[in-house]
Amino acid sequence: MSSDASGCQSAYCNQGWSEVLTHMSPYGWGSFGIAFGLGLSVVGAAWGIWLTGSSLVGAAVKAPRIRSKNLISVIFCEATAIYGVIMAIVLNGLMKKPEDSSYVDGVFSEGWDYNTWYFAGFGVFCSGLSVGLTNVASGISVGVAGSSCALADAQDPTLFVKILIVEIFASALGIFGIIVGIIQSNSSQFPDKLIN
Amino acid sequence: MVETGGLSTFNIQHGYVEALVRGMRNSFVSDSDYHHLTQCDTLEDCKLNLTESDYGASLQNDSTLTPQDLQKAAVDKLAVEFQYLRSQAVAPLAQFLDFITHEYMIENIMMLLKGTMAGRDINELIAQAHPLGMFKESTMRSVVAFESNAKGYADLYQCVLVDTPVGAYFSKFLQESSQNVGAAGEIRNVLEETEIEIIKASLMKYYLEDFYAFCSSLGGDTATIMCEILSVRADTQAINVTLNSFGTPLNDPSMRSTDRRRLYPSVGFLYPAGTSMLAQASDEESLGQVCSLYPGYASAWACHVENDDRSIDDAFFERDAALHELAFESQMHFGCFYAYVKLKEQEIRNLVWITECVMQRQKEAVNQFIPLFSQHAPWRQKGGRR
Amino acid sequence: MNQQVFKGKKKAAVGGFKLLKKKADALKAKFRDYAKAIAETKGTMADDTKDAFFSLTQAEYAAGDFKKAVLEGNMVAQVRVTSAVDNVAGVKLPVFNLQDTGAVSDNQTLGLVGGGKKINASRDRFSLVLKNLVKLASLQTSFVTLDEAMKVTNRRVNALENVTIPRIEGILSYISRELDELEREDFTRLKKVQKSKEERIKEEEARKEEAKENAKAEGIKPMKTVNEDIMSKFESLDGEEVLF
Repeated sequence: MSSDASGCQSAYCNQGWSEVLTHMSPYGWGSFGIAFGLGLSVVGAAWGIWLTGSSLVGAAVKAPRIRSKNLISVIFCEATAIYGVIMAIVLNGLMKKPEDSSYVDGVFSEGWDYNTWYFAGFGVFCSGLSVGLTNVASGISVGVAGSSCALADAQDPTLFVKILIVEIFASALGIFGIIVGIIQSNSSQFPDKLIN
Repeated sequence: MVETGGLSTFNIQHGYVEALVRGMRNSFVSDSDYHHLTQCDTLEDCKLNLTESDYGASLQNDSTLTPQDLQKAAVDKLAVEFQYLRSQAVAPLAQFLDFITHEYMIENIMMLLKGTMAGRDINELIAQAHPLGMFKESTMRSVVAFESNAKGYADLYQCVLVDTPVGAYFSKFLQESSQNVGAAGEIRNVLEETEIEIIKASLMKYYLEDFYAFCSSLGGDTATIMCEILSVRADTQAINVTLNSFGTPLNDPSMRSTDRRRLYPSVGFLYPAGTSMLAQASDEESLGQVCSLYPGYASAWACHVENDDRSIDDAFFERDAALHELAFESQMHFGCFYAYVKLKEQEIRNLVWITECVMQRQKEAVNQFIPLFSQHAPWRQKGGRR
Repeated sequence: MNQQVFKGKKKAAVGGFKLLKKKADALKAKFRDYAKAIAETKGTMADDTKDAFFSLTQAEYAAGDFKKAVLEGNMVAQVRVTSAVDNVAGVKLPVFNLQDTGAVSDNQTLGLVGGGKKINASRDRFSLVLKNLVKLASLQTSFVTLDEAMKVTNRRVNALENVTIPRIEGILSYISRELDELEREDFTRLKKVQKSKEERIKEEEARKEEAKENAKAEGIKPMKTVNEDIMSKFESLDGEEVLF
């Protein structure tokens, strides 16, 4: 890394957020992207399961027949977590360790493709964020719909399928996130060797 | 004040309890059950029909079914279910549920006090108390332990009543009354001289105001829905007090603006313009004029004036049932708990009504109950035509 | 003598019978009135009571269970029942009346928060039932008393009509028959005497003739046989009389 051109006021470039953020390594960005993507997806899923689950067990006290059927709501919520996991694996695959020949003493040699490197770092971060945030929204939304689904099913079994469709649409929100995330990350290949 | 939580956070604390209460919605007697019940010729038939409903288990013990037995069994069942909900509830919901019971506590305390003055046996009194409004048995027993003189009543108030959940309402009432009576502190005087129904109405008024304040502090859907329900209830009380005071000393011109006015809750749609008009109402006609200014009550009043079959009480009950059902239909708020208790109360009234009609062979009157969660309810059909 | 006494008795009995008959008729008319009134009151009572209890049900539906409140109230009677006596054809009949004691009605504000109107309606219905109930009690007691009185009177009327008067009549007819018999006896006896006297006169004449004829011959006395004949006549009549 060309530390000379950093222009930092402190030795480790950690004085204030602006220095930290402007001097963060693309590897850092990428990893944070994966972490946010997975983490937020799981938060969304967990939140959804909580919303659904509490209603499901409550409603199942008086109408035990709904308990296995409505596990599908929980599975929908779980799906958002799975999207996050898939995305995390995909993103992780994009991040490659640079070849030994490309750096010396922790500093990249001449010919390292900085542009691609930074592009890939931001790309992976943001695709992780897209997936994570959409999955939080989707998870809560599936959770609320699932909670209503459990309650509605307990009252009137014919409502189950109808509300399930609502739930599927809520779940589709997460799929939008994962699609965009994959497209976003497609062109974000980390370079692993020097140009030439 | 702890928030109830909105759409995305309500279930975290209260999802289970809410789902429980919604599960209990299944226990309401259905349209077809009502239909079968109204066709019955004897109480045995009624019992046979009820054994298939949710009340089956609680009616098993009685060999013969009387309306009183049915009422007792149903109220006990409601109390058990309510206690179960209460034991599952946390912070604001628990408080909310306690608020629901305060109404019954007021009734029980009034009964205990009056019974004590008449020198009745405490066990007998406790047996008559409404199970939803029970408080600690030691407290109930200590109510009768006090001597029946001025000092004893002062002690009773200071030691026992103040500690009950409804103590605050009592202190408000006593404060206000002693201002009126002049000589302060004579609690027995106030308790004895004022008619029990008036004390009860005053306590109910404070209760409604307090409950209203609590619900609006909760905010969100709960505030929206509960405040409407409580406003309507407050208005109902104001109109009923006015209507039922005709022909009693409360309607004396000197009492109208003081004693009667004090019974009007300071919440509700009628407050303050409507209640000050009500305070001036001296007969049914002037009351009708006030009611006609408020579209919601004009129709109820029309019921009172025109139709002998249905009284204003029926109209109010019907509208309450509609409101409560609507409250039951939205999710993530506390209104459904209140609605559940009130709807169950209405259902118990319905069942007692039907069994009484069957017992007294009043075939033509048997259908004058208010169906709950029915597609044939009048207010739903009105909505459908619109 | 006796006949006069019995005739007097008969007159008294018939007079009594007529009077009692009149009383019985009056009682019967009154009895019918009461029976009709009772039937009517009972008929309306059934409906009224039914309505009253039903109005209680309605009130409880609107105002909840207010029995406790009523029980705890001060129990000052608002109405009391007083009894008076009515006189029908000499029979004393009890009459019950409702009287307002003027006590202020308790629990006026009952159902203040709801259902007060229904409670008042129920109160009115029950006052009506109470009124009817007292009326019915009054009628029913009168009815029973009247029934008793009527039975006694009827028994007397029947006794007079079927026992006393026929017996007096029987005695009277016996007496008159006996008197007739005596008259007839006397008449027969007189006739016999006359006849025997005529015979004797004839015999006398014949004897006189004979004596005239047999003035020269001797005289015979037929007296003994005539005496025997009269005796036997008496005896046979006595026998008949005993038989009768």
